[in-house]
Order: sequence, then C-alpha cells, then structure tokens
Amino acid sequence: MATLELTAAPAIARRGRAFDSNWLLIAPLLLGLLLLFLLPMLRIFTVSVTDPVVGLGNYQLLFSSPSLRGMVWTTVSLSFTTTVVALFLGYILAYTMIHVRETHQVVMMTLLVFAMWVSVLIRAFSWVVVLGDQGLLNTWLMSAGLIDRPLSILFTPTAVVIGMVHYMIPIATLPLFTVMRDIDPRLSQAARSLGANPFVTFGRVFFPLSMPGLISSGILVFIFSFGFYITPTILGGGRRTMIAEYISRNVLELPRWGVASMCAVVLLVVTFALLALLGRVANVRQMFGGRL
Amino acid sequence: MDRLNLNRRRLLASALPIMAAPLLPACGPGKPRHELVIANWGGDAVPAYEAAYGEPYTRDTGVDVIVDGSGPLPGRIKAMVESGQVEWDLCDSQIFAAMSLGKEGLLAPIDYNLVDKAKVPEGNALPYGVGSFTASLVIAWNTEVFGDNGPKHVTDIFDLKRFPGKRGLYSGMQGTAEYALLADGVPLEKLYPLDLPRAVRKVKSLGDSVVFWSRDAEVQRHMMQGELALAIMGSTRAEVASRQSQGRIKYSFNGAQRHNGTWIIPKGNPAGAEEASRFIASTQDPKRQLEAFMRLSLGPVNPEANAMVPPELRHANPNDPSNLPVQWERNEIWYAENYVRETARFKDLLV
Repeated sequence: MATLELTAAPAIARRGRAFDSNWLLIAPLLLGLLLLFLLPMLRIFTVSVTDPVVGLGNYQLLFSSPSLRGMVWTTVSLSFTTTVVALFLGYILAYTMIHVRETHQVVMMTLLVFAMWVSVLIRAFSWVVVLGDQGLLNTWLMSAGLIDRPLSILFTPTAVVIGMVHYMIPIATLPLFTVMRDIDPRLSQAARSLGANPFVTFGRVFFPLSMPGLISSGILVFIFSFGFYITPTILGGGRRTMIAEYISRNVLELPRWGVASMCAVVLLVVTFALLALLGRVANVRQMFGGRL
Repeated sequence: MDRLNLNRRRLLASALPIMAAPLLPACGPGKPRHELVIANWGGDAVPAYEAAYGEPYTRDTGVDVIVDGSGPLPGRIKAMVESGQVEWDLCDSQIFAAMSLGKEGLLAPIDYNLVDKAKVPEGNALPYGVGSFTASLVIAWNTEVFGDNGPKHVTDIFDLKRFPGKRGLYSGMQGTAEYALLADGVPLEKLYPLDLPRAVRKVKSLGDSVVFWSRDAEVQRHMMQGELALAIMGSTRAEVASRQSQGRIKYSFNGAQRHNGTWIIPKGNPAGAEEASRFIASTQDPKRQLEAFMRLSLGPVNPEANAMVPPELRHANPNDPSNLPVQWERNEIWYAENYVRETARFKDLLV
C-alpha cells in the first residue's frame, strides 16, 4: 500500500489535488454504464408510471390484483424455500470442506466451482431428463419396485425448487466456507477440553461463530432466487409464475409494458434493499475471499 | 514488446482499418442488402421453411433467406418497430394479429400488385397480412398410455376420469378457452365473446395435471419425450410428432379450431416492403406450399396446392374435405379487437 501511494503522489501533485487522474482510466466504463445502464433504467421507471396512463396505477395492481399478489407470493415462497434448502446443504458442504485434508478440499472446491460454469440452461434441461414421468428417477424407482406409477415432480413447484437449489449450492457454500475457514479451531477444542460434548460444542461455539456466513449466504441466495428466470420457466410447467417469467410474458406476449416495467422496478428495489442489508451485516469483500 | 516490434506507429496503422470499418458502408454506393430474414416459431419449422420457401427463392433471385426461429411475438415486433431496429423482414403470424398490429401502425402494407389475392381463401388477403398456411388446434395423445381408447374429441382434454395424466394446454386463450367452454356445455355458436371466468374455472378444475406450453416446439418435445399423456397442440406439430414417433403419438381433428397462419411485414423491415411482398408471392406457388405441407404439415392455403396433396397424406391436411366438417373456424375479428386486453385478463385469472 505504502509504495503505491508514494509513486502515485507526484502525479497527483502535478495535476492538482482536486482531480485524481485515475478516474480517467475508468471514465469510459462510467460513461458506458451511464448511457447503457442508468438511462435505460430511468426509461423503464418512466414507462412504469406512464403506460397505459400517467400515475401509480401499475403499482396499485400489486395490492389490488389477485393474480399479481399470487405471483409475488409464489416468487417469495419459492425463493424462501430454495434459500433454506440451499443453506442447509451448503452448510454441510462447507463444514465438510474445512475439516477434510487439503488435497480433498482442493478437489471439492474445484468440483464446486466447475458446477457453476455449466450453463444454467443445460442444467435445467438435465433436470427435465431426470425428473420427468419417463425420466431417470421414475424409471429407477419403478424398476426397483418402490413405486407403481411415476411420481409427479416435473412441472411442479418442487421441480422448480430442486432446479434452483442445484444452481444455488455453490453460491451458498462459498461465503460459508470463507467464514468457517476463519473460525479458530482452537475454540472448539477448548470447549471440548472443558467438557462439552460434540453437539454442545457445535451448537454453542461453532454455529454462532458461523452465523455471519449463514446470514450473508442466505441474503445472497435469496437475491439470486428472487429474480431467477430460466429454471422456473423450464421446470415450472407455467402454472405458477415467478416475477422474472411474469415480466417476460408481459413484455413479449401481451405486450403490457407498464405492468412489466413496474415489476422490473419492484425486482430492482427488492434486490437493492437486500444488498444494502447484506452490506450492513457482512463484509462483502471478505465474503468472496478477498482480504483487506 | 521487442520481439513483436510493435511501436506506436505500427500499432496505429494496424488499428486503423478496425476503426474505419464502421464508416465503410457509408462511403460505398447504396447497395441493397441481399438477404431476407423470416421469423417463425422454431424447431422443425426452421429447416422446413428453408427448404420449402427459402432455397427456391434464393435460386430464383439470388437473395439469401435466413430463418430465425426465435418466435415473432407481438411484443418483440412492437419493440423492434418502435426502436427503429427491425431485424425481421417477414413474420409468421396470425390473422387477428395482422389486423391489430396493422391498426397500431406497426406493419407495412402488402403489395397486392405482387401478391395474388386469388391464391388465398376469402378473408385472408388483408391490408397488412396474407394467409400463409392452415393449422388446427388438435388433440394429440400417447398411445402407450391410452392404447386404442384414445380421446375422440378436443374437449376430452378436460375429462380427467377417462383420460388421466399430465396434459398440455396452450398458455394463451386460443384453443384453451374455447375448448374449456365447449367442454363446459357452451354451444359452438355462442362461444364468442369468450366467457373467460367460466373458461378459467374449467381449466382450473384440472388442477396440477395441466402443463401450459407457449411454443409449438415445446409441446412437441414434451409429447415426444412422453412427459405428456395428451395435449392440445397445432396439427402441424402433431403430424410431425406422429411421424417421428412411428405412430406412438396419435391425434384427431375432431372438434378442432381451424385458423390460418399469416405473413406480416414489420414496418421499416431491412430488405424493404417490396422485397418482402415479392417473397410472399413466391410462397403462393402450389409446389412450394405442397413441399411445406410434406415437411411440416402446413395446410396449403392455395386451393391448387390442396388438390395436389397425395392421397396417403390427406388425413393430415386441415383443409382436406374429410377434415373440414368436423372442425370450426376461430373468430378472428373478436380476437383482433380483444386479444391484448382479454389475454392479459385470462392469464391473470389463471394464476
């Protein structure tokens, strides 16, 4: 840090303290963001309060229209279920990873990150192959004689949750792993040496210490789930729609852009609110393994 | 750096053509683009349109025809036209959409000096659209599930007792609302205006066994994979699925709603409205329509082409005299006037 400041100092002195020339380096990026991101976003907001008529009518629908209320409830409940299941599985995975040998840890980490690289579309279609009435799961269960007729999983909310959890596990695990890795193992050892059994040690020492990871993972997974599009669309069977699919339908099929823009604004506000919450409870940079 | 010997002047020299590239089309003489982009609904429809209509047109005129199967939904057409970024020259649409989008000023008029009104059925030569093929929303089923006792009528899709299992319905009103009302006892001549709350009640009575599809290619895939026991689907895809599954999938025109596909030209299309109309005229050739029928079971709109269908394939033609009496026609005028508002209402009621 110190050397960096020293070399940068003369440049700043030459150009005057008021302007840091480093800003010039990211100026094209900022300009691009302004033109390609912020302005269109402003336009979306404008559409949401002007189409079809000027006013907050589209936002009122959120409370007055049973179908929109149903859509919001579906989105919240499926995201919440996904978050809980993904956290549970991610917690077990992260806990295992900090306790295995380092070579195993590397293998697990590689597999986890590798899973993240597989296209979400391919993963969703793979679940169709696995969960369908004629799919792998039902074929196995039936040939094993465990069931007589196929379990109806595909095109139900259960299928959506399975598909989303699959996508979210790496996202849930990595922040948990980072937090758990930094928990001093001697604390648990101390608890054991003072007579606590393994369960008490975990419940009173390790688990509370891992809480920050659990909260930040949870918020992160919830944010991702809330705006998820592909997986619910492919696995859901179209009976219950989540907000992203609802937006897409209103943009493309109807077209009813006022309502779509309103939903997009709601999605954005919820995401920012959750991110702000995340910023308060966790050190975002540390969550992804960055050091200060 | 040394090995590359890349000094500033060389770097600039090599970058110059890249920087100048965007300016090039502007300096050359105004050359027309020799390419037509057709938007349709994807899957098997892409190679079928290429072979039946695209390739012969390229042979005749030298204009390349590109088929984009990403689905010309009204919202996408609206977005393209309003932003001035039109990518499609022609879209595979429907009569009511040609009426309503045309009224909204989103389409270019058809040039009837090039397109022959006599080669389409009555009511298919609209200011902003021309009939392109006939299809019906038929009932298709998996014979492995129902054996010889398959559904006999489109309304059987609502009979959970006799025909259990997952069933596919279109996620919009077309077919879904009408068949629900027919199954609920509404007589055919009193269908329109559609009583949506009643239709939705009937659809909801099917509970979790309904799967809603939005794309032809989607329901076709679900039927092929055996994920659906029965479905309401386009006759075009039902016939293709029946062939590809060697008869495992069967379908029936009994009670089916017939409608005509329609060529429309988005306003400001890249190749120009005249070129697009010229292409439409080329698709009126009976031989090409027959080819489209052979490949994708698109019912020909040109009466001459209907007469050319070989006897062994007549059963698959929605326009065949044996299939006509058991079907009925969608009320396009009602759809043109009510589609957006009522579809929104229908989908909201369904959630």
